Amino acid sequence: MFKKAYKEQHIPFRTLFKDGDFATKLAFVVMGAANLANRQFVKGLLFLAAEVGFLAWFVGNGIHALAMLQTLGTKKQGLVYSADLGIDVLQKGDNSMLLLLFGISALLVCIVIIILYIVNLKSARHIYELKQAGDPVPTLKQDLNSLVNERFHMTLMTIPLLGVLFFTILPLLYMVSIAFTNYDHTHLPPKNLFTWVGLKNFSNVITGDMASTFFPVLSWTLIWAIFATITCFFFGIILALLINTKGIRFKKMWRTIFVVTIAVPQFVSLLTMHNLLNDAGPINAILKNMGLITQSIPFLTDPTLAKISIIMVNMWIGIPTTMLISTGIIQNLDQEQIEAARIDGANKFQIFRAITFPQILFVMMPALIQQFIGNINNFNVIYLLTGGGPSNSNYYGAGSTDLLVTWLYNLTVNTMDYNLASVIGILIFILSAVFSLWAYTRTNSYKEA
Amino acid sequence: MKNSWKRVWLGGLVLGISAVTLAGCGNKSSDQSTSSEASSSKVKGDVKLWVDTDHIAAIKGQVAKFEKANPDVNVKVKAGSSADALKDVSKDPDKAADVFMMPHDQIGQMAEAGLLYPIGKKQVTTIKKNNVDSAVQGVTWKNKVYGYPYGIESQVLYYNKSKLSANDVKTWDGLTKAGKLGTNFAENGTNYIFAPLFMSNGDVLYGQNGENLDGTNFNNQKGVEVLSWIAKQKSNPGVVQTNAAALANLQSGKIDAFLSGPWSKNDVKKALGDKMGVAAYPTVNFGSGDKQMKAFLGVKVYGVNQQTKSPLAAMALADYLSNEKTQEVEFNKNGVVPSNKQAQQTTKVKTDVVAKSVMEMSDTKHSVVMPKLPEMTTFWPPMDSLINDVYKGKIKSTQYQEKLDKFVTDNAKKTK
Amino acid sequence: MAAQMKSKNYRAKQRNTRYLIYAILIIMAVIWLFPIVWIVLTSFRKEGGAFVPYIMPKSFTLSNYTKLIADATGSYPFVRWFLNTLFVAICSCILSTFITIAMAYSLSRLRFKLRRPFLKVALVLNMFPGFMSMIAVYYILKALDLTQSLFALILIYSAGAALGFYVAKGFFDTIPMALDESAMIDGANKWEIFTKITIPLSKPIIVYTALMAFMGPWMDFIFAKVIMGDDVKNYTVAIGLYSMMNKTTANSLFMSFTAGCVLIAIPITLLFIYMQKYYVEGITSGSVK
Repeated sequence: MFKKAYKEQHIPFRTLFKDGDFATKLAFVVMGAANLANRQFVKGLLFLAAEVGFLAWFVGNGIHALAMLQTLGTKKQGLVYSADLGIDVLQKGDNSMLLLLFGISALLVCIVIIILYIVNLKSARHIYELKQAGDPVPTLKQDLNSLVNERFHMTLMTIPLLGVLFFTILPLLYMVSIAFTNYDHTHLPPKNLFTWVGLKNFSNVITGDMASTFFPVLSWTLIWAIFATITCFFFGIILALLINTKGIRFKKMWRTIFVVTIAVPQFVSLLTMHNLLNDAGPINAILKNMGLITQSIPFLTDPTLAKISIIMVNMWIGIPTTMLISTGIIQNLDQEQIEAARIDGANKFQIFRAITFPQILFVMMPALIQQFIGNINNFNVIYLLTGGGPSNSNYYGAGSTDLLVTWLYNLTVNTMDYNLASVIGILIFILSAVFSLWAYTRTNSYKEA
Repeated sequence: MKNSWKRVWLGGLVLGISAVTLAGCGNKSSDQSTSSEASSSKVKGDVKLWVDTDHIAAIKGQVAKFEKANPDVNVKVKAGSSADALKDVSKDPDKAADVFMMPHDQIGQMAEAGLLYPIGKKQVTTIKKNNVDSAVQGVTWKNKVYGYPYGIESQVLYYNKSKLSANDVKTWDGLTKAGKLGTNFAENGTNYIFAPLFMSNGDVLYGQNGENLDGTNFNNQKGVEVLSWIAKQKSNPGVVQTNAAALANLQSGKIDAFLSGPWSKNDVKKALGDKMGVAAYPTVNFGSGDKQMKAFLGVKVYGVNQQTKSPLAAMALADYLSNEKTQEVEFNKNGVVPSNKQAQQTTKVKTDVVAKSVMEMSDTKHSVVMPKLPEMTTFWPPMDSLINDVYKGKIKSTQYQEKLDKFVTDNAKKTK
Repeated sequence: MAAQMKSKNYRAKQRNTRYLIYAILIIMAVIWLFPIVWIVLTSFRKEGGAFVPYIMPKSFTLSNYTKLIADATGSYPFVRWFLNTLFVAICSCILSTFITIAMAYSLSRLRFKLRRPFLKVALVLNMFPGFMSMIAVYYILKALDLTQSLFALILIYSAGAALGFYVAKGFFDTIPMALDESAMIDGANKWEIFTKITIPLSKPIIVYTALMAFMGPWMDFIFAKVIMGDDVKNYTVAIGLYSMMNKTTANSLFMSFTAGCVLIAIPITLLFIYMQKYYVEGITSGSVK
């Protein structure tokens, strides 16, 4: 039932140009010519409109945008004295950041028109082939009809993919490009220009000045991601087992209590935690009042303790989710299998280890991978809880508990070293992408029937 | 069936959107040559103003008066965040306010990025004439003036009069012997309070004018003395490590004094009532006699956006909002200590304990104008950890010299 | 006799375990509810600022709530923020759900060139930390003249949905292909199969997707701020409440902040409790075969 059309043999475009009629030949220069000549007016006009629009834009803006991409601007912003006003007046210069962004958009537009051009040629070829075979050329109605059939995926996916192109891919290309420029706090637009510097930033992060910050932060990021994922997973399952133990009453009430924490927005619950765990916060105060401690426990201000506190607080946030999911799984477990194991003399722990746990692990694997990646990029917990602190004199722009992603944020917001931030972004991306591709290809939701 | 109809309209849509996107860019590039259109010398135009939320009420009244005096100017007051001026203006200077509140220490970075309008000669003369020297120093960057000062702030010493006498609070030792000072050595934020100790002992940060990148000399004997002194405070029973809970502790009597700025005035008053005492910083003894303990002096500034469409109107507004009258209003409504010499002389200001102490702190004997070098962003975090770790004893006294050397070299680095 | 003893013993042991479990559950419940109870208590606290060394307020008041809702100064229009967020949440919920489902369906049910490579690309595309793209997205929106509008937020949140199809795709993978095939034999086209067969079967995943999309706008406080800038009237509750926590106002507005938190947490929590069944089905469906 699936088309095997892709395997079809086509004549090369060169042959098409040689053998085609005038309209087909014209399609190599004027997009849509072949369609118009064969009464596919709407389609042909759209092709034509795209070409005309592109050319108009290209002459008006495109050339400039592409040319500027090379240098990222040459004219500096300046001030010129105006006798009329009695003050210096602004002379706008080039803004490297915007030139980069628009240069990349221009590149994308060019790529789109090239694809469109090829589609146009294929369309011309298709008509040519149909005519050769003596088949009728499809009408507008037939074309439209195919959109709810063979080409249904296009109907469904076009608009979403446009969103992806403009709000994910374009920004991503922009971000990646910045890693190859010197866009840092000494080259801030609009007054200053920045330019391409090649791989300098990468070497700076991996072997240069930044290495002494990068590698410790990277290793803490990994440690954090591993611990945060495993603790939540493990204790979540235990909690689910406890609640679902036979004979425990009010199961729904227990579940609901824990579910509440998922629903509270993180910036609320984490700011609250920040407050509670503060050296002067209620928890320390209560412990002091009870006489258990005399000095405040530096939950968030001692580097080691802060890391532990973060993992603990993350458990508070993460356990209910795992609990909820594994409850679903536990309730669907094959009871006969468990009963059979019990009759064979297996104790509860053995049943858990041999039956329940593997089942949960199997089902939760994709979620677990996702959580791991999510934890590598877990901005909220660190930013709202410790803000990366306590400070660390060995780091540049990062604190003891900063993850790569919060360090990246600091670099863009506080020190304004966009180039370094972008390098770190790329490295995080590589890390997560490699890991998840590796892991996903081993799980079920990727392999399909 | 490969001639895909769908792709045609996908492409068309992409091109359409792109065209709009790029047209936006195109407009901008065509703007480039035509500089600001305010070529008529009359003060007119639309001006957007960003002020901190708690200042809106006070400023709106003044803006109304300004608009009356300048009928051609239309001012839109919006809530902004002065602390984030650099971030918010640099995000999109075109759409940012024309006039905005900001702290003076961002002037360096913002001027370097071309975000601030240098002020015309005539107004510079007025600013210099009307404001105290430290405020003028605060708005000057590389010999140009970039902001309109409307207030000064520095930390002062708040204390509980029922526990401490005015005499006690004259020296650090006297203060911590007679009562408990709650302050922050061990957590982030200590950099702002205690970095000026180095200057108290005679060192300089970024040179005398605060603009010289390699002008820091903390790595000398005096610097080591300061660190030793900080380490000693850990065992001083009169010093209590307090950060966020200072106010609560002051109220409950756990501490008797703390260091904070004019922004804490109302909170302290709530906590202590009539027992609130305010004084300038005490003297400290680093081992070579009493030295005046210094604080960082901050200048509150109105900046003008370099991309403004109506520079004259924007400057006129900023000038108006920093004049003597507005400073008085700001003092009365928000407790902003004026930087204007005349405004400082009004009886209301002179009789206010906090304002009096801040003004006392504002001379060069008591404070250092916070440097506004862009590299200050890289000064703060290591300073925090240096003081934290010395206080907690994580850096041994034998390492002081080495740590200070590293600090100074790192600090003088131009770019990372 | 011995057998009876044994079973009695066993039952006693089981009872003890049960008590132990109750004890653990109670302790955990206390730990989990403590911060939430604290927020609620603080929202009614009359005295003090952000930090007080005790839990039970010394005196209670409703004024934190009335202040927040009345908004006398005009600087923190909470009710407006709430309605903004509700509007954005509903719109982006509808759009995102449609987009996610459409994407997931296409990638699960339809076969076309580039499908597999696309699955891989989509998987990793979202892994780039978004902070740097914010500024690029801002300028793209600016070029479209959309900044500072709620529409921009809806657009951004929905555009993000196109790559969040993995869970839903897993769900569609579990619906037997045979259903589609028999419908096709009856002469239905793909569109009819999608709307008349697949969607009615997909209630759990639709509810799950919608729930997630609905909750997003209530929690985002960084990206939304970049887009909204100084336009306080168009803030969502998350930006608005977060903006109350800056250095100068954090102490004085803390109780109003918590009151606001309580007000937004209540509807989301109720919704979530009501929908938790779907949440579980949604998130586990991807892997249950």
